[in-house]
Amino acid sequence: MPVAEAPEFRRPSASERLFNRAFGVLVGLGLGLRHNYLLEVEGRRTGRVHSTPVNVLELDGKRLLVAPRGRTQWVRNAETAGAVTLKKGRRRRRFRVRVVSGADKPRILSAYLGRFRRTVQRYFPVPAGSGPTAFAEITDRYPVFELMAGE
Amino acid sequence: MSYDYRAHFGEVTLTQDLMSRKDERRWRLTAPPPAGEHHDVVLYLGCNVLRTSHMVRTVTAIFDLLGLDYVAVGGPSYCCGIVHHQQGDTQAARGMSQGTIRLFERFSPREVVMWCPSCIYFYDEVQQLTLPFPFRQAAEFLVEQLPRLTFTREVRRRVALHSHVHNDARRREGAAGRRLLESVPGLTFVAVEPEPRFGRICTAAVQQQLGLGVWNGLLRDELARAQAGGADALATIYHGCQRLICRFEAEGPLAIEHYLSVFARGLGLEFEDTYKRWMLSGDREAILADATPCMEANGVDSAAARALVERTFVPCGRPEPAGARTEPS
Repeated sequence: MPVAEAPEFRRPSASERLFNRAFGVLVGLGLGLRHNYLLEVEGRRTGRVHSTPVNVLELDGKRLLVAPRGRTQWVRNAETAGAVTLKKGRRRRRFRVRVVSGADKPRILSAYLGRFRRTVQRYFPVPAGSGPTAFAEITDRYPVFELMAGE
Repeated sequence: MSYDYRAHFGEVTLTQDLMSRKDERRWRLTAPPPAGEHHDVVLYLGCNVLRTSHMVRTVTAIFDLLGLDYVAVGGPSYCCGIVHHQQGDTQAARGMSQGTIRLFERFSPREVVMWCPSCIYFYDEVQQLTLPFPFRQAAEFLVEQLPRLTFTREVRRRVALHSHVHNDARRREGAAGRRLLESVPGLTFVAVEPEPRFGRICTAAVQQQLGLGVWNGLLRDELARAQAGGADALATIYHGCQRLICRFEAEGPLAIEHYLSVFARGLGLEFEDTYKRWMLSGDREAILADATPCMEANGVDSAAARALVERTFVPCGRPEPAGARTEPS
């Protein structure tokens, strides 16, 4: 019998992994757009720090992380660690993470897709510009975290 | 013939030794130093939960998240005395419970949080002792801590709760378990009316009292009601319930989990229920192979381990005679 829900996420292809690695290096050096950060999180089994480039969404004064590929490895690591680090150039800041659930989520997903449509549209079955109601049925697929200051 | 307390508590510690190594235990089985050792909170585990050490790991991990100054204690050194009481040995029972209170006093705690429903029942309802510190059951304590906990994971499950309604205390504990489950992001709570005939807690004695066939029937009815309500999991309120009910997972379709395992998942904490895995497996050799690293680390006698595995886990899937043994929780 299943005890934990079967996690689903879209694995990056080899070329996507290569691109992410290269882009992560650039963001880590401080390049990239204002919302691009290098996310660092401890591995839930090894404790080793893993990093990946992410888009940080600012909405209503909150900083939010959305996982467009679903419950990826970084998501599972963040769930376990309860905290992540955002790095850009020499700046590094630690945040606690709080999972976002329920009524807030469709609006966040709508805003996220609208803001970053060029890079994440392919992960969503609804077009950018759709209102929150269009996301109501698919919220399960996309983990969302609020970044909270002060670990 | 007098009751074999040594065998009773020996089985508890042996089961623990098959599932966890000493070096990975965050709980103390020995008495505190006579000179004392302060901790704000004593998490009093009792004895039988040691058979399901994933629950101890879960609750201590939550206490760690809360940043509490606490010590988790349990096992025969901290016996509440209910086993002796149930054997009619009231004097020994009183001595046990008061001795354990003296051990608690060495920690000069602000509060004692009791995990075991039998221990708190024995102190509070049977002996009606006035303890020199406030005490509460763990679920009620955790409800008060909810504002201090940050959930990191959605738990997309529809969960019914198996709880007891024997008296106000058990109802409060069930309500606290429900409150904890309801606070988990993504979780849908499925209300199921508790079965009063399950008594104070699930034990072999209750099974014997009702007759195993009746008890099994009541449980299957509860599972059916949970399923009809849309649940995909039944959360058990006490460790004794989990031990007795987990085997019903084999009948499907509901997963059977202790409520704190479900709650903790929302906090990013996950500890496998080895007891359930072994109960569902029923494969003696596979279980012993699985237990070998712990057996070696803890110096467990292999014949004793084999006997316990056969007694406890191998009969899974077959109707079991309700044991006449005393089993507090």
